Amino acid sequence: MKGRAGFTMVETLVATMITVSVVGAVLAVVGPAQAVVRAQGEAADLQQRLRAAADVLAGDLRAAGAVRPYRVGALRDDGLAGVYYRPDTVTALGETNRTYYLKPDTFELMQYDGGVSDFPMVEHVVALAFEYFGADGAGRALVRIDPGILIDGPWSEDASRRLVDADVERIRDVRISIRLEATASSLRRLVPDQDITFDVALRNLAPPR
Amino acid sequence: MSLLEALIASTILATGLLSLAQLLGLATNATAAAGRMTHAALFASQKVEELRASPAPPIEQGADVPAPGYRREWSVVPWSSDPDHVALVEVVVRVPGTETRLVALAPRPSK
Repeated sequence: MKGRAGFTMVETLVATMITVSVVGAVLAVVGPAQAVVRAQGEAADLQQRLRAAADVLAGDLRAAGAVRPYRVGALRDDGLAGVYYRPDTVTALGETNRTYYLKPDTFELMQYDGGVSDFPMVEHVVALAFEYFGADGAGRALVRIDPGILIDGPWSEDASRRLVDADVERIRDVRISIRLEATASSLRRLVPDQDITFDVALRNLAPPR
Repeated sequence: MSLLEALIASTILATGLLSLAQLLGLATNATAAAGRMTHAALFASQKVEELRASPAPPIEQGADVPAPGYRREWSVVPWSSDPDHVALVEVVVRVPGTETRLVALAPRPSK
């Protein structure tokens, strides 16, 4: 046996210890890194949903001939129920009506087409709010329209013979605030909720009658 | 296997792992930068829309801080081709590492 090449027990033990330490160190880094990698996808998804929500709302509001701060349509029409303002609902009236609102139990941004189609556009929306702006008395500056003014009359009938508060016709700009959360609850520590607020100027309004 | 071979193998392994770690850092920065650009674009569009919606966009220059780290500057000047009826609105949002510029025409009420 003497003279045959090989490792002594001590050499083997030292080599094993070194290997175990190195592998342990690598695993310690890989574990958290994996969460960071998943968080990257989640963050990109969150930003994408944010852009999608902003795009779809801005597109329909820009093209709107008129807006209503409540739901309009064949199903659960707010006007018929006597509701003329909801802070988390807006309807863009046009060729096709589009109502956007927050479904609070499922945290979804919903799009309702005024007929029977009512489906989620963006998921994990934790907050949605609309504010309305119009010209001041002198017609020079843009001022916020108090929601109370939008439900106090005077009332008139619009083209579809629905009652509408006259002050709704003053709306020239809609400010939208959205807050989204990450889809995976385990990653919300790494990917915090994102808020955005943006305005849409209504450039396609029907001229005042 | 000599000690030299073992050292070379370890070095290659370490270099590979370090590159991967660096890649992770780069990806994180890129995602964060994309997020800042999204916000900068929205802040710029918000000001443009606000000025567009204004019944009489004031001929002015202004600046504000829409969120920590973001600086927004805007200018409204009469548009050279039709200075009495149209204003040229320019909004720039600066955030470390990126800059977003939006330009739009806004109607001015006829006198």
